[in-house]
Amino acid sequence: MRLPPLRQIDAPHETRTGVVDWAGAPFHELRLVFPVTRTNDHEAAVAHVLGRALLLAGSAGGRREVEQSFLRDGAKASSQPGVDRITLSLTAPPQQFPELLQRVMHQLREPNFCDRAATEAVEYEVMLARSTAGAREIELHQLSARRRWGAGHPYTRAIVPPERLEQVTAAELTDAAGRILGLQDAAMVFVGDLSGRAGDASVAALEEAVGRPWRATTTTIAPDTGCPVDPGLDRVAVGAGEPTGSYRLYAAAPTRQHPDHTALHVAGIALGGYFGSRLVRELRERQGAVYGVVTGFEVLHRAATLAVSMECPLDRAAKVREDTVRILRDLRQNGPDEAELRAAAQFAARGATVGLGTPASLASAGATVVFGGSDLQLWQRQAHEAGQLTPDDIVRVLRTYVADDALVEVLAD
Amino acid sequence: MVLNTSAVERLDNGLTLVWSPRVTAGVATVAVHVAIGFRAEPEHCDGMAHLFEHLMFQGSAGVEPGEHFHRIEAEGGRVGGHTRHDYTEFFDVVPSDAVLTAVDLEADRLKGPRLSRHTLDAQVEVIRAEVAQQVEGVTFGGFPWRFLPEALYQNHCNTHDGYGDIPALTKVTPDDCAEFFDRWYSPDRIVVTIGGEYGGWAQQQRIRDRLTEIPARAAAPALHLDEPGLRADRHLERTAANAPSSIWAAGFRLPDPQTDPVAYAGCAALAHLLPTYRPELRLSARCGWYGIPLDAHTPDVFVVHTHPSATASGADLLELVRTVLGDFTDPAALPTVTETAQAQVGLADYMLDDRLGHHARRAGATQLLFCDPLLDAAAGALAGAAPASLARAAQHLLSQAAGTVRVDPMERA
Repeated sequence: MRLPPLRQIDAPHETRTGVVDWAGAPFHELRLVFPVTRTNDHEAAVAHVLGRALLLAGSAGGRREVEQSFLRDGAKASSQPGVDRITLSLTAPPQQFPELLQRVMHQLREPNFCDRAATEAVEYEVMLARSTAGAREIELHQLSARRRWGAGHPYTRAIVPPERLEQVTAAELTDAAGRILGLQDAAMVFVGDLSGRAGDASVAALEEAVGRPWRATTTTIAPDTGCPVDPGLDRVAVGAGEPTGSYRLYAAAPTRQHPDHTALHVAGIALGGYFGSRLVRELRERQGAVYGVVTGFEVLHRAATLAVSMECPLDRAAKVREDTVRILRDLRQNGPDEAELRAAAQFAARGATVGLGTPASLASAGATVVFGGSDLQLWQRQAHEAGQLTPDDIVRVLRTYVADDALVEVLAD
Repeated sequence: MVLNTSAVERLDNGLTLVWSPRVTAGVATVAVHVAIGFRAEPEHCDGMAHLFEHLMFQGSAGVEPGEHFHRIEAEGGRVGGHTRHDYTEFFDVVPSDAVLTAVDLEADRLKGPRLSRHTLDAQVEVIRAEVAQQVEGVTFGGFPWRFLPEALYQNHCNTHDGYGDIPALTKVTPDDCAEFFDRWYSPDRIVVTIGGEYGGWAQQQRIRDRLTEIPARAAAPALHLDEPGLRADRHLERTAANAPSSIWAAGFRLPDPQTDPVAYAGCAALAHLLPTYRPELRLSARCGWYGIPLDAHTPDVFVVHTHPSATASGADLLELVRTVLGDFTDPAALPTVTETAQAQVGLADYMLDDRLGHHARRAGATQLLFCDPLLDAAAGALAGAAPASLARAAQHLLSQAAGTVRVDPMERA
């Protein structure tokens, strides 16, 4: 892919950074990612609320007031909780960026949640949790996390029940922010036009942001290189009258830095990652049994999971399961042919150009990559690796990481 | 990055070609817009336009079934298609050096797709799976577009949805499809937009030559979609198995963007401002059925929706919405939230850039619908700039009768 020029900035306190000078970009894009360890259920609730309410720290008002204050400068800022992180996003006009970054960093360095902000944040999260409770995707995510990590692992605490959220207080949010929001182990990625005086001012603001000493934070989860966990068909029942059945295949996968990651990425593409994949060609284009197949990685700070997802009308479910298992077994046993492998590898190698075609998409994807311990040259390295793969490499990684009966089946009782 | 320029030319066969250059990270888009949306399809065969969109990927004279996907994906590109109220769109987003491959594929299928019983049957089944997955299997899937048109309109063209009648589609024959193509896919009903970074003069001439090879055919007659507005408010109540709680929407007619662009632009801005203005009401608003302004001919709709209490009637809720709109009618005393209208519209437009091929797709759509590929930029500039546009929009919405629908949970069978 043709990445716009990268810039180095001085980051003396171990913050991992990536800076892209994208000529002509109308906005500056910043992503700041902080590691979080959800050590118990209450910590998970606090981290969850904090993740969404990060920008309310230091504000006497609520979400609306904070949003309007950024909008008055033509900017948008938000934060998102993740099971192992909190991600802050800032989209700002170049001229306003230095001042807005300074404002954000001040809030993060000296967080202080008032009762009103905390109450509003908790109510919002409770409302969201109640509106999605029982949804199939939520249930499946919890099931996959339990299979992958075992009960009690921090990565199983992605979904927080409403009654836990309701217990979170302003003091706890302030305390957690003080412990979590340090730049050690954090990642900062910037994408924007760094030409001219506005560019110089932005670079100076970025260096100031990461140049001041901060609290030290720690993350306690060991890296995971991935291995099959608890394979075997799982069946989850849904209520009668549901229009679709679901199939999910979860495979414990290595992180992006691991030498097997690219091969597993290409294997996922060949299996169900694009229109030319085996599952899509057979189940959608030949049989009309599914609308689509989605294949991708959930990449966490220290681990990854490969997931293949599809839905089908219930009267098609038995055949879809049979064919999915057969197709996976065949690919795992015999590998792709040369042409099939080259097509999947090409899609992996050149697809990043299209997928990261805007400053915002590059900033978001780049932040995840840098947070995971890699750098913004990752896509170029993976493109090169993809071009070197052989069918035997695909067979090897599928046999290592993907059990051929590891389907999760969701059907009506 | 943004080049607010474009060039429009009419080829000898009647096809309209739009050049929409844009500085990217090496990406080009080929977008095809055909003047056949689901509002134009024959009454006895609802869903035909959407079915035909699927069939256009099933091969053509020089392209095998599945080859379109294969060749674009082998370049790292993405392929997509949608059927909207008044157009069908196809797009290929590719690395810049693959733009001619995409143009070749589009030109070949625009000369005539392959139509066979097998692909027809398979794609009707894919649509059945699509409806089950994307509509019936999704919480609030199909809201409001499945329910609200009936409250707003009388004519079949405006009340039916794009998926149509699946059993009726199973009776469609390849001959019906050939007739449909001849009638609706003549080059004079087609806009092809080449967007992003696509090369210089010589490349443009090659693209022009490929598209000129599509033979001219007789044009289909113009359609009449408009109908009189409601004389009195109309309130419907429905139930849905995929509604876990109650939801309610009101629909108002949008002003015609060509005869009253100021009021239309104000409606686009109001869609952003209403949720922010009174967050406690949990109002959402959208300009156009899918939240993208200028995406359909008149009649088009401004939708406001919320999650109502158990006792609130449609009349009560509509009165509440009208009260909120009433706060925007005086240009000299607008709510303070309007200070950020321009920023909200600008940021929303910028964020839509993350949609694959967004700018080329929008240029093609507005050229097809309104003969202006730059209409989005013009409307965006109007939307936040003048308090008068907001006031005029609010007055327009308050001057008419509205249709509403409340959808309550239905126990699954």
